Amino acid sequence: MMNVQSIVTAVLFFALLGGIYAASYYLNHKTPKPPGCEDLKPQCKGCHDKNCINHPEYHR
Amino acid sequence: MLGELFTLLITSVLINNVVLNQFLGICPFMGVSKKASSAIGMGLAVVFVIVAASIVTFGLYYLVLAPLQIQYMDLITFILVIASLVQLTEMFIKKTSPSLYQSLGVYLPLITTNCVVLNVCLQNIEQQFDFVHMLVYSVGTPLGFALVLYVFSTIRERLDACDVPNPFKGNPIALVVAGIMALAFGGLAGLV
Repeated sequence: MMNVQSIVTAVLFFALLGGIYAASYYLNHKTPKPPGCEDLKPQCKGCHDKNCINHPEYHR
Repeated sequence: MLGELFTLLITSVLINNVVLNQFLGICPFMGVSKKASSAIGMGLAVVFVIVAASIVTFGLYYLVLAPLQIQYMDLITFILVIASLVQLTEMFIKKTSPSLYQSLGVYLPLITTNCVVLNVCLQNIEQQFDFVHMLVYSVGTPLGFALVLYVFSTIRERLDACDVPNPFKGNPIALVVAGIMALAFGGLAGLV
């Protein structure tokens, strides 16, 4: 049976990783794209899932 | 020791090929294999992300998760590490090399959802590799992915110029080709 200390450690560790991901996501989106790359979109047509962000139909 | 590492490298690249033997990473395999130039870009990006993610997750597991006895957090930890690493890689490429971003930029977000990356990180722990074996396995597996992706893309480029029957055009004939490639790679099983 897990003790309380282990659970608290796991939750704190998860929060730390989540924070790191959120910070990296924010920093990446704040960084401007190089000139000429503003409209780059993935052209993946590997399947017919048009709800996938990588499918060209998603952006229409 | 060197012989063992060489065997591990050959096995991970050719014999236990992650796409044709383990059937992982099929989504980018089918989606980014229509042009050879795209396949090379995707292959290089996957090699870089897998090697970096393996080193970070390997260190995190043995230096943080194991001492704190929270090894059950490995899956969620690895997923968040891979996602963060992809964001940081994209940001780094945006700032340092616009030309590289132009060729790789659109493929970087796709790598987050590439199950090969997570599989390599989990296998490094599951197989109880030491650091050197982990490094060889983490280089060999994406190299195998990149090799198969490039070969497949060159075949698909030639298929575009072929007279394929209508029901087989597009993905069906590509899957038939992938099946034949899997059979061919299966023939390498006795190599080591």
